[in-house]
Amino acid sequence: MPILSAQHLNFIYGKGTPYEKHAVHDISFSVEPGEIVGIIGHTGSGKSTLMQLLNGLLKPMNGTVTVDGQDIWQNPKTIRKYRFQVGLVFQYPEYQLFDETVEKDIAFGPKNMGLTEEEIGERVLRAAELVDLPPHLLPKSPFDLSGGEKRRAAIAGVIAMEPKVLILDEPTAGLDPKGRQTILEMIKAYNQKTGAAVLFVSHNMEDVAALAHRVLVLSGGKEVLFDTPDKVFAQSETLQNLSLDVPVATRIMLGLKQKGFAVKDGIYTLEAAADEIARLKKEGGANA
Amino acid sequence: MIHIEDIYFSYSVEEDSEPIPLFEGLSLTIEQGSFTTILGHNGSGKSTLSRMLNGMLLPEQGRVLVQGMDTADEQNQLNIRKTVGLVFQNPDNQIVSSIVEEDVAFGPENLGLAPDKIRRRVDQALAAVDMTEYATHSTARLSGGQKQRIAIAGMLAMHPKCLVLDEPTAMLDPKGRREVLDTVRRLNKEQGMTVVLITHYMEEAATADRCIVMEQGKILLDGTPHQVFSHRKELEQTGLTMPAACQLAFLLEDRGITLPALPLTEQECITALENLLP
Amino acid sequence: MLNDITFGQYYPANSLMHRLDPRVKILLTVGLIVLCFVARIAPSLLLVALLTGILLLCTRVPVKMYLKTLKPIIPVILITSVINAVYVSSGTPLFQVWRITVTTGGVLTAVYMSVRICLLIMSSSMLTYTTTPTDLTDAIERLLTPLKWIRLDVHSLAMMMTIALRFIPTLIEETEKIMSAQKARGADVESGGLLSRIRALIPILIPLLISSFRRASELADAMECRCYHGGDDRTRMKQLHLRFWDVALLILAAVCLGAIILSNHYLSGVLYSLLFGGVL
Repeated sequence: MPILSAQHLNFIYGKGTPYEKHAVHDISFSVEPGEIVGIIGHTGSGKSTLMQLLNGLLKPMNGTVTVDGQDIWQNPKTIRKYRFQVGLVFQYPEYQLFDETVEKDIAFGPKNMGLTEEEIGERVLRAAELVDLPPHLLPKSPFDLSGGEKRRAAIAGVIAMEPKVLILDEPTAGLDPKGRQTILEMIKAYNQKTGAAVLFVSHNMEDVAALAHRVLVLSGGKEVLFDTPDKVFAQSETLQNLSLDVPVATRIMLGLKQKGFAVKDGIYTLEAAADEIARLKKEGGANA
Repeated sequence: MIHIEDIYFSYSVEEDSEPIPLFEGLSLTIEQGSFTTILGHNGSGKSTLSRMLNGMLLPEQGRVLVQGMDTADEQNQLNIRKTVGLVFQNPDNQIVSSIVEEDVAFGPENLGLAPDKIRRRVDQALAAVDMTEYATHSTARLSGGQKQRIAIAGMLAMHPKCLVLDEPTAMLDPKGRREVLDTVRRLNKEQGMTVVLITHYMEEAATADRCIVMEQGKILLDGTPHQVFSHRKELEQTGLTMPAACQLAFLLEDRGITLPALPLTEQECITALENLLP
Repeated sequence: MLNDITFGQYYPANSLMHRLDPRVKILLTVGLIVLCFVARIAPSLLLVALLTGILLLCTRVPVKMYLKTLKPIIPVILITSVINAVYVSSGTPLFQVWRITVTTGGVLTAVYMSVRICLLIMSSSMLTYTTTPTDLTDAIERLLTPLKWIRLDVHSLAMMMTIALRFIPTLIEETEKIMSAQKARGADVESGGLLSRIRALIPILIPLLISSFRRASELADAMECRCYHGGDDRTRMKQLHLRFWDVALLILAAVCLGAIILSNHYLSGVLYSLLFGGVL
């Protein structure tokens, strides 16, 4: 059974005003436990709205969201419960840090869940470890951390709720290459260690190619593709028509194909591209 | 255009704490009309350096000369700031007015120019960044890339000789990044504007004339992009991500395939492979 | 999405009122408001209402839009009417409820006051509907310029207004985002007693405050880089020019003001006896 499922979701901003905008248009997809899903689309493609629909921050005009088979809006009074089960990390999450210490800030979510002090303490430590935040930083003020550390502390604040599904909106935006790398590795490790499903939005196709098991492509609030990365990136024409990028490896292979080389389809990592070129060179050499 | 002569600079993390030295005898010359990219991690000193170029920060020792004007001399202050325009990372926090054209006019208004002259400069600057049709729009509704182009126009309206951009694309989506980079490249090519682009995206450096890699306040590598990107070991140690075309070339190298020259862009890579493959 | 809503009340249209110099519009509005209160008798108040009506029609903003602005102040009008009717005891008694006597004078005062409040709201809406917030700031700066000699830093004041206008949408957007982010961590701002609600605001206010300081410091840097050094030697791209209609309307307004003040003085006796003689 899928851990998270969206059925025919629709959401319209400012309905009935001149500013009316159909932000999410009949989107259906489901995520299996332990899966990593990459979401790609332009600014304004409905990604942010979709994410807020998935954890009940917004209520869909119609359609349903189910978590572990439960319709989250069945009883609106219990909606908060699902916000803990579907953890949402916003863009630039470090801007929402507020407490005196990193420790207290991470504990904010678990505290709102009404857990015991003991359980909260354990969760804070576990979350800090998962995001690779050394224990000596915990009693510090979150505002004294470096940019990358702040970002990880903020993510720990959501992870500490131990959600079944973790959603991240552009988790690497604005970070330097080292910081990006750390976050990407963290997401992967988190997924492997906890078995939680992860959804992440990214503009960077290389990141999506490296992490995602499946890719959801959105455009103008509509679902364009939802498939494995090789199948999605094989549709480079569709993506480029939406002026979305494809990974560089895919573009180079496509370029070679246009020049008449017999390259395989569905290559989206540089490693695979290098292997394919090596194969071509060897086999081509053998033919000649 | 700009001479940095043997500068020293240190900063304190907290008040009263020992200052940590950043620059210790850094020297650098930026040539007129050149396109230079400065690469490095956060904390490598590249942002501090950018603020030295227009006198927002002054070195503790040594001096910075902008067209012969010493940045430490207060009388030069306004002249230097209008010669070297500085564009920052966050597009939201450098726009002053809610109307596009009024924001672009802010700089020239501070210079005390006549109204009709300001009008001409604003129109020219908006045309140069391809934002003429947005002149009377509200700044709040623009995309990140458009806001950043307005920030550039705001500088252009002061008729600078040099543009320094401190990670102008870090907060933008791919479309916005392309818009800003295309604009900056065009200004360099067509108007001979000296450009210093500070970034941590290595692929943005690929088309520059010169590429400087900084690490802990020191210049680690300095040369054409080809020269710099060939230093695979040093770059991998800094943790900077190479342009994908370079990475592919290195992966091929590991598999015993060597390309005649290091490709920096996809197109170069495809051409090289086309010639290589049977 | 609050950022999709234009800030302020500006209603774009191409009308005489939209094209007027914003300084003139401010003066006209102030003039109309003064007139409302100067007009002490029915005919002069009617004249003011007529004048306001003509100006409103000149804006090409649908009348519906003006009526909409009156809706929220209906309670205010009702309350002031009742108070006036009860406390003013001039004229002849009309009827008595419990121990309170309502007189003709009371009713008249209540009606006058209601009309005044409506006119006041409508004339200020006329200003905000036809003038963009930036034009308004600009005009205020220029109108206040003479106050420089009492050492009022008019330029800084106007700069602050400009920046405030510029950052209001940004901060609204930011507040929404922080609120959603904390709600995603289970923050509950909607329920509980007053104290717990105030406490629930801390996770929203602190990040907002910190981010505002960061923005302010970055903006100050950016302004300095753009050669900002206060109001001295600063020029403006947009110059405000008084044109034919501006001057004409200013003169007209001055004439009306004079006429109504005069009518208060000289006509009151005559008109009162003409109109209300029977009642009195």
